[in-house]
Amino acid sequence: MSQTTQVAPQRSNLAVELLDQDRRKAYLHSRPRKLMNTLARMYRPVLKNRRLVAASAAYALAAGLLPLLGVGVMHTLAGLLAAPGATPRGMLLAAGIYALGFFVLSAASTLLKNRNYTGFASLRIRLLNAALDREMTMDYGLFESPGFMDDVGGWSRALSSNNAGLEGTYHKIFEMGGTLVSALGLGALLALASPWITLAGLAFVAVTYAAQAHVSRYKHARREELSRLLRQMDNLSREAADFRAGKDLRLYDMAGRFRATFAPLLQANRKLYKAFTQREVQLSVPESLALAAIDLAGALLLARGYLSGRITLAQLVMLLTALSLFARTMQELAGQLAAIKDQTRYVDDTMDFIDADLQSRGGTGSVPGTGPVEVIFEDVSFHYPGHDKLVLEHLSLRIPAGQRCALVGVNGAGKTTLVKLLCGLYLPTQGRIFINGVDAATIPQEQLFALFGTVFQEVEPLAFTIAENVAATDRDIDRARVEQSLKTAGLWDKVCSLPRGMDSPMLKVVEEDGVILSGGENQKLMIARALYRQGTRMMVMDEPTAALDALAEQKIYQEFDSLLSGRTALFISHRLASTRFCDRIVLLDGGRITQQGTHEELVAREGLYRRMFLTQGKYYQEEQA
Amino acid sequence: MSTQDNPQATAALPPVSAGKTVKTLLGILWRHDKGYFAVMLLLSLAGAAASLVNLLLPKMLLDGVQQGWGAGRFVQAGLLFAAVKYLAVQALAWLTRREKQHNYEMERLFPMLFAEKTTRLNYPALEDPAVLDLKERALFPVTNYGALMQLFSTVLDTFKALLTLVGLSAMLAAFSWWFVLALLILCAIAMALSGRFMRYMRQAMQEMIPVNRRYGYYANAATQAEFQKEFRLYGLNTLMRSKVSSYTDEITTWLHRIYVRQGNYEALQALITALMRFIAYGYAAVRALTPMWGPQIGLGDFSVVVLATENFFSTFMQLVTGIFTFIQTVSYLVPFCQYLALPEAAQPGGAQPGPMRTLAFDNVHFCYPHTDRMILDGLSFEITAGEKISIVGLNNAGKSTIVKLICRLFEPQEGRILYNVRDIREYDYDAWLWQLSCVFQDFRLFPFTLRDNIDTAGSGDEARLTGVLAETGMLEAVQALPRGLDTYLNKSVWEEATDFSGGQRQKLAIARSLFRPAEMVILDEPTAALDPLAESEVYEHFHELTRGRTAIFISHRMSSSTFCDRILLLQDGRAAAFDSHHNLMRGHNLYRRLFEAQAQNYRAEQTVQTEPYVSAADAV
Repeated sequence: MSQTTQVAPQRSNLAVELLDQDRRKAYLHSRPRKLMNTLARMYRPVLKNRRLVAASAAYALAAGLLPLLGVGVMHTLAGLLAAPGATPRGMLLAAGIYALGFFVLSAASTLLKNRNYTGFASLRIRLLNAALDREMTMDYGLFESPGFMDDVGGWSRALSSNNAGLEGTYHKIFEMGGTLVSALGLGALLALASPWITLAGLAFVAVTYAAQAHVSRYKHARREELSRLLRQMDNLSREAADFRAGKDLRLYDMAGRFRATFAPLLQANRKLYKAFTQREVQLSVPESLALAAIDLAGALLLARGYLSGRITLAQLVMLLTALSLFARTMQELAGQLAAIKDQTRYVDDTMDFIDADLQSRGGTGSVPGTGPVEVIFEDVSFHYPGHDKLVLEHLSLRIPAGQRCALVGVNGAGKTTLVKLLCGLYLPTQGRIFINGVDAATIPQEQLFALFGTVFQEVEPLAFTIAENVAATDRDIDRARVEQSLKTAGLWDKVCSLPRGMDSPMLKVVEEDGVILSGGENQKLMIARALYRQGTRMMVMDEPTAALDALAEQKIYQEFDSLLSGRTALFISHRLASTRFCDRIVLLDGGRITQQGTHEELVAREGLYRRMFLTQGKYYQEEQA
Repeated sequence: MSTQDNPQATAALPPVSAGKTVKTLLGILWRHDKGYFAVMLLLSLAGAAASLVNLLLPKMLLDGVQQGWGAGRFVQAGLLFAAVKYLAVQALAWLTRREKQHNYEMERLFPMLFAEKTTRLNYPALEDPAVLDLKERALFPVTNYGALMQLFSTVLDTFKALLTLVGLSAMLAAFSWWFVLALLILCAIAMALSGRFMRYMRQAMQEMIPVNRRYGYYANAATQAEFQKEFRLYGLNTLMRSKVSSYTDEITTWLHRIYVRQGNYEALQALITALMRFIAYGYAAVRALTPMWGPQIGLGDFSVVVLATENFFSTFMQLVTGIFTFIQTVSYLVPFCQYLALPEAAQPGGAQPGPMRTLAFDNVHFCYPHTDRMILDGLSFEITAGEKISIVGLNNAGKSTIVKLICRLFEPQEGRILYNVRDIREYDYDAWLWQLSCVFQDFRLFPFTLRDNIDTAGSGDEARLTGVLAETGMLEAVQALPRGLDTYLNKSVWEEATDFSGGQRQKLAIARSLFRPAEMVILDEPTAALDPLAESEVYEHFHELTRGRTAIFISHRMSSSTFCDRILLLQDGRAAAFDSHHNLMRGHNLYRRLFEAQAQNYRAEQTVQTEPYVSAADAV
């Protein structure tokens, strides 16, 4: 490990890059969209699973032969009817043999299908896990970009269902095996009578497939629009139905406004679907014509064959049965093909999402040394992706290793933004951030995040146990450390009062007797989590005591030393009293650092800090006077 | 794992039967989209017609052959048939798409109706964990199983199957009533079998709903904006995935069991179907061969009997499955209708409040429903018009509860709250709320424009809007926005929205409360997110901001109480003191302790200036 400054590699800032629709398309979806490629990719894991392959083949055969068996029995029976000396007994025997064959094939196909169903579910869940991971680890800025999310956010629809998307496609293809065998058998049989009937069937499949692929392409092209509408309606109804908004909603009588906002969205949704429906209806005309054409061709050609004597009566009966089954099979086949084509578009998007490198940060950088880190902001400017307004402007700042630094400033000065940049949630628009001399942009995301113990404002716990929430894992939890962290954060007494202590589940999701903590207690829990985290070299706290009463706040200050235990610290607070426990105070104003120094130095100097401190303090002074 | 419901909590939920569920849902559908019913009816008819038409082609041709038609007749018949088929298929295609369109629209409408219902609920329900649980149980089958849409399509399919069956029965009965009877017996056996399996399915699904919901919680949380920082910074993605995996494993194992069972069931049904086919083929062939079981039939009728029987049986099974699915879906939707049946706010009282003279708490006792901790335990105090008071107490002392009681979001169990010596419950609810300007501790801004968020009643008073924004120090920031007051809030709904910082949002909430010309201003922790200057601004201008109105101020920042006329010290659910700051600071009480805890940080200035850094432990 060297202390030399590393130069950032030429990696792009994806949160900014991918805002642009064309660049997004080029970055995410440049792969050629060939159905065969998608299928090849989907079936790589299937081919490794011999059981699934064998089951698929066996199912195709069993299910595919069923209709052929039906055609066969019609031939036999019609033949017997025409033959002299046929007996009812013979008829019943033929019917019995057929029924037996039917039972065997049909039982075999249903057993094969049902017993292998979850084999495909497992393949979906594997990708689901990958996509979830991608969602939780990709650039934070990407998550905040609505355009990006409307583009790839559809992955959840492709991976959440048993009968649509990826898994739906697997099942469709599994079934299509049977349809293909039937189609082949029936088509060949009819082709013997006249190839035109088979051709009419193929024409129908081609017309239907083309028509539905057209509609599906149109829908896919407008998927971002659709995603946006769905997202808007979902989020709007979620906001309106959010119990936590209930007080303001009633006091300020917002229900009517919600109704008025829903209306145009519903209207837009209706219009969009109308556009889809209209296309489907228009294209259903050639489909229906082609379907009727199969019957017409069949009826005429078979009648001609019979009249010309090429076909016997028994054959005619058989071929007419084959014709009606053939038309149905072709309908099935066209539907399956269209559904596969349609669904694989979204599977493709999902694969693109899973494959793409969605972390801007990366390289071989690592932070040298152990113990507290030194942080340097070098001429850092930043605006949020998609906005022009600079939040930070040519900001330079050095926090020496082990220093406790307080960050203060007026509302909207950019304090939280600075913290997010420091932790690596965003990349600077300009300038660089060095940690122990290493450009933070070259440090892989996970390594960078692992340096910090962070406490943000307004955090909610997840439905884990208290210990899991503190340890941020469910494996090898150091229970003594959890206890110590909870004690330091001032939550241990509360935890002890719970029947199951630190193993109590939180929220009511998993268990109905789960624990719900108050706002102040949640904040303490988050402080405990920051303390528990091993190997952190810097503490970053954004208003950690805002929800606490004065005594609880005081206790946190008293424990400050053990809280930090030698780590570098950056601390945001509007209660300037708390900044007095810091070695240095940095004042952020207008996107730059305008003042810095110890509390004493800053109070002694004319300036914003002094003004703020005196303003806040004056209310406490009068009793002394 | 505890699966016991809290009996106290569930007692409040309205019982809703399956019948009521169906009535409610179809009723909503009828009110909002009558055309849907017409489309469903026509679609059922078209569907039934299309499946009957298919039987006729072989019959027509075979009859023609036996009657010795010439080529011309065949061409005529073929064209006629193709035309009929085209019309049936085309009508079906058109109606299917129309149905889909209605279905999509309704799918979006119902969640909004659900949201609207939430806005009308009695407020205490919103703090009742049992109702929150009901809300999740109600929405889960709708969003995850598409249960509502499934219900409607099941009704459609069942009706279609019924119509088809009527047609097929008529066809078959023309040959033999005995044959139809035999078929019905087979159908009855199949139905009994199916009933057993469906019951098993229903039970299995019910058992899995909680597991599915938990899975849904984690899978959904993983994509929620509010947790994304934590996922990244704490590497929580691994823990989240581990939770998701444990549930997907459980669900997959369960699903496999169900599918194996379904395979066995379907194989057994295949046996019955095979038997049916034996009867159909055997019977038809014998009828075609000899007149021993009735008048001999031609080849055309032979094919009709065979095809119609196959159709009859499969349609019958569709009907049975449809009915069972319907029953099952209805059972999923009971919580949804239970939610819709929750009582709505019906606030009594019709008196007009009038200008304020006094507000008094008279021996108020209060504990939250289904809890036993008395939050307020005999609280009494009185404030007079124009007075500014501050309420002080430790975390969870019940400060915010007082605000909720004044807003009539909850009612005291005992005691009264009097406005101008009259119980506040006697006033008209809307008129009463109009007297109150509140900034709640957990205030919410809404996904509308800034204008609509502040001028909530839509008065259109521009001067006043600019005024309150200026007073709260937000005017500049708002004017700097390209769309100014017409800028939307909440980026998750509107891309072009602006996200304000926590402090700015708090200022907007204050502006909203000030915009309303109310008699009383109640501010609960209104400066928690404000910087010292903005906070002081609120303090300094408190009198102007409140314009001489009565004000109640709640804050953990003890400095805030210095400019209030009196301080209500809340301890053990009662008023431990109600006096001026000056007087309270002369005694030994919790107020003074709280005040000192913060004040020393500002007062110790002299010593700190001369000494180097003093560690936290030493300083206190």
